[in-house]
Amino acid sequence: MLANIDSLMHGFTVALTGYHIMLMVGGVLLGILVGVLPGLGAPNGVTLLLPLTFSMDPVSAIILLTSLYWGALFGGSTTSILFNIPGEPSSVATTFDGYPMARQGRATEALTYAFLSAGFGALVGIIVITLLSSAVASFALRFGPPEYFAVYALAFASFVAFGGGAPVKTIIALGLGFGFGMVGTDTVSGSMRLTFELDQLIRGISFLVVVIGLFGLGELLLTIEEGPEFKGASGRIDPREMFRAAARMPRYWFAMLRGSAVGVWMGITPGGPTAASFMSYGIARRTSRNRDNFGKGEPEGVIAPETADHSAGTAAMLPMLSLGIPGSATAAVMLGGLMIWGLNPGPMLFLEQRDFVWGMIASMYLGNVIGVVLVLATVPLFAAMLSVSFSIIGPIIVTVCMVGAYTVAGAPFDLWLALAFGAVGYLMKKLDYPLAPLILAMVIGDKAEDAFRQSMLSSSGSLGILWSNWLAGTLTTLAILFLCWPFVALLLGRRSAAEVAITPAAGHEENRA
Amino acid sequence: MKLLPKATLALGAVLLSTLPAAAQQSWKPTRPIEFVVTSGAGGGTDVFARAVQAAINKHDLVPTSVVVTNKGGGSGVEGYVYGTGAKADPHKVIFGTNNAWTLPMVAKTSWSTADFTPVAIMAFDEFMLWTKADGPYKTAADFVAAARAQPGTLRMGGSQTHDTDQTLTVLIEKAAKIQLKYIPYQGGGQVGVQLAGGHIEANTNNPSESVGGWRGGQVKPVCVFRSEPFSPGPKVTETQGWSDIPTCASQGIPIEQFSMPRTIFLPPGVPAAAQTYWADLFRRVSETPEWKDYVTRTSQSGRFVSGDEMRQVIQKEESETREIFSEAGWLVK
Amino acid sequence: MLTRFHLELGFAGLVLLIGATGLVGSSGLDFGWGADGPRAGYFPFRVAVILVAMATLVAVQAIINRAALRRVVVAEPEGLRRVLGFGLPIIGLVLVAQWLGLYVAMALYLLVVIRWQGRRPWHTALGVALGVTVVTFLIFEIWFQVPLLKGPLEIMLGLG
Repeated sequence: MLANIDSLMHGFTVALTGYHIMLMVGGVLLGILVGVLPGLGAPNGVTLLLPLTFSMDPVSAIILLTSLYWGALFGGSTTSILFNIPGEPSSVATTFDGYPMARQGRATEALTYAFLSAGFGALVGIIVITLLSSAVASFALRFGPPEYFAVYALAFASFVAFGGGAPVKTIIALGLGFGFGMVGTDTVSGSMRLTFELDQLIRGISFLVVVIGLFGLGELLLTIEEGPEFKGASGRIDPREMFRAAARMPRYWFAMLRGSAVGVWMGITPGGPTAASFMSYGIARRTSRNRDNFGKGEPEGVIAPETADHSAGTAAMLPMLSLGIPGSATAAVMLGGLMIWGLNPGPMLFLEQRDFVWGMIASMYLGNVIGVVLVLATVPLFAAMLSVSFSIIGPIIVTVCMVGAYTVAGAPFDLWLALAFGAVGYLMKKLDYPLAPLILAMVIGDKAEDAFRQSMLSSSGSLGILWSNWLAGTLTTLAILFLCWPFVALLLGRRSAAEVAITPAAGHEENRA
Repeated sequence: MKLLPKATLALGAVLLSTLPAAAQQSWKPTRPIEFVVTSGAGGGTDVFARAVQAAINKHDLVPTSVVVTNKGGGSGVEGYVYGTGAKADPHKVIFGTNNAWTLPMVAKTSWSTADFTPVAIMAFDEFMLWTKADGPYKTAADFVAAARAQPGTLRMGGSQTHDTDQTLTVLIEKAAKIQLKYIPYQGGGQVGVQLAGGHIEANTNNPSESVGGWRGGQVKPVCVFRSEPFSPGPKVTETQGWSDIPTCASQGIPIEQFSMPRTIFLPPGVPAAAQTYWADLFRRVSETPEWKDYVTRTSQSGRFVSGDEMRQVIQKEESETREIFSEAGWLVK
Repeated sequence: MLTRFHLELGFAGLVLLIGATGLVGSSGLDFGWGADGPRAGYFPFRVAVILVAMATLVAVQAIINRAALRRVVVAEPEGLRRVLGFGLPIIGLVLVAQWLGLYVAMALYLLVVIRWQGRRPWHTALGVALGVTVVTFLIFEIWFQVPLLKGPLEIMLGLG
């Protein structure tokens, strides 16, 4: 550990040059821009800059690219909170309480909470990387298919089982999510599933297109139904509100620590930031003292997913460098870059390329601080957008959604898909179907199925492999316990049968989530 | 990258026009060019296309801008579908592997290999047999002996189903008369890590996919699927270089040669002049130091093939693959 | 007037349809559990069955509770009119985009919606429509080199 701190100090001497700080600022700004626009994401930004980095020193190149990634992670929360459109997949969970807060005129407060807790989460992630780099890498090697499956199952169980809501409708939402996620090529058998021989369905149904439809367009339809103007969004921006919110942050120390712990766990294991944010939100909703307020604009509902998202994003850099496992699409592009710069990810990178690895880790501290400062500076700008009349901003959001849906795969068909999911999202909200389980099922259902079937291939069809070692066994058992919780609660008679079905009352608490 | 100084552009144009081949050319790009990659971002084909893009940018080889887009859905089917949609548009260039002819065999596709206009094969990626560094199999012969002793239990990982890795696995099974258990993952990087963690017993990664793990003492190559070992080069680990790895044929797996071409196609129905233009351009790319550097670093064999020679390569590979696939029962039509 | 009863039935019908499509789609696959674990169709088939069953359950419960659900109005005619007024132009946007490209479609959409639905003056509508389109073009096409859907106009102008 002490040796690591020594290395970190060396890293700071590499990272702290005027040129590198300039790269960080530029990268973060560009990242915020791509993060804010739903059509562009961190992967676009990174691929854009990749050709530029060919002529750079690898340390400078990775500092530029990772700074862009931090910027995009911060920027992605902005539109989640302001317009219910997640700029990045990992900020879907931020919409659950962030958007209700914005509608109550607390946009500035929500954005401040989101950015500060994100910065906190990132910091925890980097500290873990700094102190435990070697231990973490060898821990990540223990993950084979059964362990992968167990991690997904646990994330899934902790979100779904900890939620309230009408079980029948939750099951339908889950079924739809799993079903849409299955369309396309099946990894294990290689056959096309549910594509009905349509070329447009071969690549599958993109989760981002579904999110843009369900959340973005669906929410617009709900808003317009209630009235021609944004309800409750106050146009008045008070910078002092930012400081007041910041001063209230320490009150949520426990939520931040819990979110960071979940995030670091999911970043090191193959769960990833998106699943981490859902899992963290789910656990917070269950254990928080303010659980009744979740989904209605609860600050903890913003803090929990944001800390987890960012700590997972930063912690995932470690398996990427030491093992070459890309935790996200962005990481995959960066790995491609690494190869072009002539570096090979692997354990030797830490020994042979100390300047590169520790320079990058050191830059993560600074890059995230710069990120928080810059993104906070944009709050008044974005909050001002809320004061624009809906008759103008509404149609603009529609075009942004459509551009976003198109860029996912460059397919005209996806415009129709987004439109259809917009209508479905509107109906589901009207009937109190929860949207979050659908999204979560789409995100991890497919991966969980692959991992499960890879495990079964390994064990020749025996389920025993899920308990073949303490790691997989513990995780699987926990997941099953979590999943069974609602049925136990049902048996204990906490809900009557009629309530369980479809009545508005039972579903109401799920309104947002 | 977009805002090239005008002078550089003009210089590039002058250089272009002084080249002998340019005299007969009646076609050159007038609109932005799109490199369509039939794999996801960060995949082997993606790195290939971006290496070409980098060389083109560096030497100003084309007059317009070059954009790389990833269309890797359905194991790459998406990219070829997109290619057929861009019928007769020579501004769309499709980057792939042998997936151009294997995909229509294993999946119902709306296109066939013959639809596309072949341009060039720029390199051949090599395959090796890898085992865990501290595992029980020190040599390929050990591995074969163990597989023979317990048929169908040793796990072989690969990057997809019905792809080159699985094809090679089937060939190994036939050549060495053994049975393995094939487990498909997603991408060579993941397969390498699964081997390092001991979740599989072996894999057939390309050299570049596992070089990091080799240097780090996690995995080791036990044989190479070439007719002769790599030519001598610098040491990769402290004691060994690529050239120290024996051929698989000498280790009891009689497979003379197995490699994966890095291919470039144009959409159906493009003019012959465009085909000549691109073949000529990629030949010049293959002579740049940037390209040579990429080939060396990824331990591929840089051999430029185009025109009729490429057609022959495709024909030969296609019929060989079809035979293997039909025996394995993978063909869909 | 749309009551919750009708909407519940309608959406259950949609889910039923999706489930049935899934059943058709997965029936062509092997949906058993083989010697080496579940086959390709195993999960799709079961998910489809669950969707069909749950949709039926929702419909049955809606019919049982119909008296109560009929009294719940989910959308006032005024609100519904606004939803349709907002939604239909989006369908137009997608339709036009398929053959004229996304840029032309979004410019037309913004112009029409802001001018007639928003009842804003011409210069506002034109300004927003052109401004947003040009900014989108600059950011996506020029700066980030992400090509958007283009139509005959862009090709004519040499931009596609």
